[in-house]
Amino acid sequence: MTVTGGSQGYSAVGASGPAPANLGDILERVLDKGLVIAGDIRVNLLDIELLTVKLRLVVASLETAREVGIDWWERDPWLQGREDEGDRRQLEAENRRLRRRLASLESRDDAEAVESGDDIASLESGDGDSGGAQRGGRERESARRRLRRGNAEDREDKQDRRRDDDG
Amino acid sequence: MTMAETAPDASCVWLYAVTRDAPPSEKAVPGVAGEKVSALQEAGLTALAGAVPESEFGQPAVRHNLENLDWLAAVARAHDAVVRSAMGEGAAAVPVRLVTLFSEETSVRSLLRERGTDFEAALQRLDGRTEWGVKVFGDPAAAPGTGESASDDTGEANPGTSYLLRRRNARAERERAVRAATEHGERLHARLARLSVASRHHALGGAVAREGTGTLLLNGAYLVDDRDFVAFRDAVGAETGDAGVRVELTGPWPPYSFASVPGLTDA
Repeated sequence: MTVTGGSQGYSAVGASGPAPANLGDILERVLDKGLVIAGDIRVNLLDIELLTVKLRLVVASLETAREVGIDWWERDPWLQGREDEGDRRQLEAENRRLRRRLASLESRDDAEAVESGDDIASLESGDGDSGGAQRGGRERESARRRLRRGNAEDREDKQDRRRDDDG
Repeated sequence: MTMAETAPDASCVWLYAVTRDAPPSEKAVPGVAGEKVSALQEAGLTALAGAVPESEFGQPAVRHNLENLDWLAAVARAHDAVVRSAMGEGAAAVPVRLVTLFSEETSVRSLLRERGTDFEAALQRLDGRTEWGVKVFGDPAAAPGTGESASDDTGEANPGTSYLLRRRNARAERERAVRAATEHGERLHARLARLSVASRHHALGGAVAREGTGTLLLNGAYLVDDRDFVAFRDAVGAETGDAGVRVELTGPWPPYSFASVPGLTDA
């Protein structure tokens, strides 16, 4: 168990200890939790609705960025809005497409792969007129590489699994 | 923090927390603008508030500034520090969300006057209780590898099939590990919830998800009676022996996650 926040035991209870070092933990609480004064009791409350502010954080210093983990806000739908949703879908679609291509490539031998050259061109452009067998091998390797990269996302993995189960 | 060179600068009032008594003066902690924080006393309550320049914290500047991570980090830390200063030995405080601004001090005073009983009820709920955070990470080191070693007997004759089988096996393994770790996190949450007055799930994809290594499986906040803290801590500690997960206890926190006040908050 890791204890952060300077609490060295029960004696430290009382929330008066040193502030926790983790900026991500603090931001999560002060931005998303804490009392929101709302409704009819807004007495001259300045109209700044943090809840509706879609933060697009600018990485001002690398030090601060490291502290929160360089890319968390890019993944937080609350901070980002839903704009990255499209990108993800695109990635997932590409992943599926690559997987289909890979499966079909794997099921042929290299000589047959040459004949599907027009499909393959969409995977790797600018390939020119290199030898068919060699090209098939290289394309498979490229597809694998991209597939591996895509699979870094567990969510995508799940999607694909679902699809695999269906198929 | 940078401030526009317009002087004299109009100011607005930043609210930090509502408590009963003013924090002891030796604990004086500067506010988000480096300002001296005032303890506004009204109707038996104390609001911690500070005058901050509109050029930096008013509209539209604050929106722009919020997007600057360094500015946000400094302001969040300062806000948190003032809230903590309000919490003495067992003294409760209701933390207010970042960027709650009033046009003047009298507005804050009327809020305390008009909603005194609501605040008092909220403070009573928080008395003698502390917020703790518990995070459970799935440990990738303990998870099975990509299955390279188990691959050799799956058909050297067809490297393509072998590759796909290998991938499928690795995926199944990973799935099992993630499921086991997730269930582990849920069991821990249930146990901790029984030892708490209240509990909340924080987002798994939010601020702390990317911290450290491993997948965040549980991100819980627990309002724990101080008398039950030892049992709570032991329950958290008991989980560390298990392979495949890393358990982290954070706190003590001001009760950010339990700061809703019936009658003061919408919904």
